[in-house]
Amino acid sequence: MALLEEPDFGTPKRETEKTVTVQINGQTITVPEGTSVMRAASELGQDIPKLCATDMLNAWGSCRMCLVEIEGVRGTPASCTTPVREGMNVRTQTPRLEKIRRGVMELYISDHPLDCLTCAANGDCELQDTAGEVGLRDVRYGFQGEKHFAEAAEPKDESNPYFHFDSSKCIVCSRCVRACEEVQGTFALTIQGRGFDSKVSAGAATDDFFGSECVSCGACVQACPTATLMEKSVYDHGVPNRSVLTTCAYCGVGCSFKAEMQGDQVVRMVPYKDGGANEGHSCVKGRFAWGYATHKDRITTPMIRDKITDPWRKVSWDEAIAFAADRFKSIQQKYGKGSIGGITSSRCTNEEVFVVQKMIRAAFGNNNVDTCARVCHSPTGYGLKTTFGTSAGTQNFKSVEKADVILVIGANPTDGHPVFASRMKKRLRAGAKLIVADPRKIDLVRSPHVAANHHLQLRPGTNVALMNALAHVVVTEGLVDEEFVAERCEEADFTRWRAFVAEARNAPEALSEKIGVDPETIREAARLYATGKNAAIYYGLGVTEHSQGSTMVMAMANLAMATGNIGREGVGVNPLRGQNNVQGSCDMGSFPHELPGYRHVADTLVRGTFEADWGVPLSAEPGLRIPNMFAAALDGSFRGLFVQGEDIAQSDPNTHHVTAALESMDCIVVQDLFLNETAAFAQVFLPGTSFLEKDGTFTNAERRINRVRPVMKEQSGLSEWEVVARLARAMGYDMHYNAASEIMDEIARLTPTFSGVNFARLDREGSLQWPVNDKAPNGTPTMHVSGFVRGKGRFMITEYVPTEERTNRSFPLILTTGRILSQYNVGAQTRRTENSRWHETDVLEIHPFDAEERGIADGDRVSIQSRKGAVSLPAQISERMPQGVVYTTFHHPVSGANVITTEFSDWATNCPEYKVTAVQIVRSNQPSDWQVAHEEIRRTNYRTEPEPAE
Amino acid sequence: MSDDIKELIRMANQIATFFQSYPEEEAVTGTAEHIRDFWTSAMRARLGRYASDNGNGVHPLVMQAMGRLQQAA
Ligand code: SF4
Ligand code: SF4
Ligand code: SF4
Ligand code: FES
Repeated sequence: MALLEEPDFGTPKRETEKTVTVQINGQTITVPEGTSVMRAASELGQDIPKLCATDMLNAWGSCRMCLVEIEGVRGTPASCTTPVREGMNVRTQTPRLEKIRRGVMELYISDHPLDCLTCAANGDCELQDTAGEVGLRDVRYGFQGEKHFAEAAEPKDESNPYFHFDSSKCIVCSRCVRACEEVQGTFALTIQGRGFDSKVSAGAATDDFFGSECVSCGACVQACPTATLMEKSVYDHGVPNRSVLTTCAYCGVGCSFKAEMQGDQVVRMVPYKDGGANEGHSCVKGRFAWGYATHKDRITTPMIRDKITDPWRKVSWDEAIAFAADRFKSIQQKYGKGSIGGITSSRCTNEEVFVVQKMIRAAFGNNNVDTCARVCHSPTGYGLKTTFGTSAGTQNFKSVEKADVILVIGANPTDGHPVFASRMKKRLRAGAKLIVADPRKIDLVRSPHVAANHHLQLRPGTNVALMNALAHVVVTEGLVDEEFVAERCEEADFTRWRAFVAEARNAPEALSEKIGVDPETIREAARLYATGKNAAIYYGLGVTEHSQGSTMVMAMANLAMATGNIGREGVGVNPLRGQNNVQGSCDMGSFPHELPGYRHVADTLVRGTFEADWGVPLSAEPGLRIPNMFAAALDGSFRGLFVQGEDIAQSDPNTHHVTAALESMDCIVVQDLFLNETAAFAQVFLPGTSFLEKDGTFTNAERRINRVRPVMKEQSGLSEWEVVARLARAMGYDMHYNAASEIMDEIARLTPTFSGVNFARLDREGSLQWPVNDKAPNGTPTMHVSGFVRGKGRFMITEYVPTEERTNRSFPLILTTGRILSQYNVGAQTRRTENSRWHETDVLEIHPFDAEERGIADGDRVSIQSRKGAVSLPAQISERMPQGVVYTTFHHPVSGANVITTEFSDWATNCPEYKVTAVQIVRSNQPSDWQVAHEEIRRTNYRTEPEPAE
Repeated sequence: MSDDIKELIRMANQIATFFQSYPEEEAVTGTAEHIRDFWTSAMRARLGRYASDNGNGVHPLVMQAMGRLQQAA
């Protein structure tokens, strides 16, 4: 499509049922009460010139460009700050207004450089446009303003890798300052000085953008009407001339973007205001970190090799696919049908995931399919399905605007889910209360204009104890929503649960020592959650990645049901998903016991519909989960693996165990963008496609199905689903599609919750939240509104069971892991962008006391030793950590964080216990043995045969 | 004891530990159904054999659950 320019109505939409009818230039319009005159006019198609107003921000009224005349009102009020009143009669264009506007414009231009033709914003500048609209023809004040002289201008601030700040072009409209406050919630910018001397500043006088609090979300750049804040890519390439609407491929927020292009080159990614998940906002990853898609490390030719120590040989698609199929077939001949399997990826589209699981079930003839969600959110699926009846979060993101109490557990949204965090912070600034349960003092605990009412700084591994203690208070202090429970929940289960949590051993006083939080604080938090009107739980991997991950999810569901906080806006139990398509990959039947739509493989009726559609008998036996695959590889019964876009060698726990398993297999096929850590153990490499090349859908954490559209053609020449279909055919199963939309049609045909979904509809309506079917033709923003999906809500007994991983004298500290804003997961993408400037290496965060006891200074290299292995990293002394707990991220392969994590896992789903590992920390000045061996593997297992001379 | 069987015992015991909060009959059913629904037949068979041969270190609920699964098979 041509360049998509979204309308800017000048001020935000008001959400109220009450309406007001007004006349503007003789035309009548009815709008919600509180709407500005500017917006009402704009909705009538009669835009009023403006400079300081934009509809992402509240009106400010500083530029005086938008003046109007209103019958019976003296003077010329600013239309952006004037709300409509019933019967108002407005004129937006009169000789008087024209004159005033022109005069205002003259003043602006008298102090603005006149290099329009060579300015980076030429063609994309609101100042230019407005000058045109008001008919500016001359400037009576001359052009003597100091900004006209290049030599007088301050040097541009080029410190941010993605945008520059050129103060000479600034008109001090303060849109940037307000965007940083209102949209992003970081408060990094201020206006310093007064009058003509006033200017925008990133914090202290000496700060540049990079050194400031700025998190590079880009909101200010988008808000800026001039070239002052401008993407460097636009400066370099010029303004884009076409747009493609698509979805970010990083985190589970699933932001919608306009990819703005010149030809097949992306010039910039601009968040889309109509995107349901992000409503026009973005973070540094989606907005700026897309350069990896064309990075020189991308492999775009298929490659094969006999042994993992051989160099890679580039071959044709046909040869690579035949090679993989032959190996898989001969393994099955020798070791049986169940000796191969595959892993799907939460980074791929629903369509790509669906075909991989179909290949495994139909062409491999077994259910040995699992997904990387095993290691992150599988307990969410189990826990929510058991209690509510669906493996998904209950709300849309917008719901947070109605929450009065927000309980954040084991999630760090400002780093992990930044755009949602901004929406949450907005609500918190407007007065919602906040409870944070996290061992670390995450940013939300205290950041500008946001402070947690309670920070429950619990010991890692005691989540369930904390939930039981909170529930104890609810039950024993009469805070149960009896009516809700009686009407909506299974009575016998509730009665049993009530008796269980009421036991004295679950009282805050009894558990406080284990949890590490003062009992009165727990009581106050419980009271706040239960009595603060709409209470919503948001949680992340700090909940799931524990040996009691599933129990914890059920414990949260219990608490929400007991207090009636489910089934309407502003409440609920909401998982914040890690990767972009975790929800989708689970929905698509990536688990070894479930067909698409979470239906057990043993269900004859359901299996029958798949068998009829696919034309093959399917196995009724659950297949291997990822950890079972590794165990079976080591015992010799599992020998071939197809890995879709996933780096199990880096992201799965206990690296020694994983790599030993991978080494023992006969054929590993990796489909990915880069030669990742797993590829070191592969015999076949099938080049994948980046999100900029994909055609399909992603489903975000709010069950929202968003379209992903290609902006350029596949670098490798084939779509990923086509490669999988060809491999399936080479294995003897006839799989064929002409387009990705046909795959979605098949998904809709076979999955009741998706039955109303198709590409044409998504293209028309933007996005849909499943279930979308006859019962919910327009999708389901809020789940369980008039009843639970399972019928009645089920309370589960959630006994606290401490993990088997214990600290002792040799391993006295607990290591927990997480992520940071600028990097994404194993870092394969973000490490190949300028985002790395914010996070060049992983570090170990340690409390000052623990550091001092070990003679460790900030920046020292330390060795982290667990019962499983050791790695070394630089230490960072940090007050955010409680004593006894250390923390690291796993964005860089060389850090080998999973060399030290253990094989302990969630009881119900085997989701690994990443969040609790007993370790010792000592000073060390060298890399660990594993790190040395890892370097060696990088030297031997990644070689490519030299290209034959032409 | 091989690492493999140790791992299966640990997993099964963890499942039983969750269900042991329930009355015995429900706990046995819960444990048995969980193992039936989520484990491969090879894993079930291996643990089943161990349970009937020896059963050292296996949670009593798992012992009962395996018995029930074997009957059903
Ligand atoms: S990029 Fe975002 S965080 Fe940085 S100054 Fe602009 S609005 Fe604020
Ligand atoms: S930098 Fe841009 S948005 Fe900020 S005050 Fe200047 S012109 Fe306005
Ligand atoms: S990484 Fe997440 S929050 Fe950031 S732009 Fe992408 S989807 Fe949005
Ligand atoms: S747009 Fe209304 S005062 Fe600036």
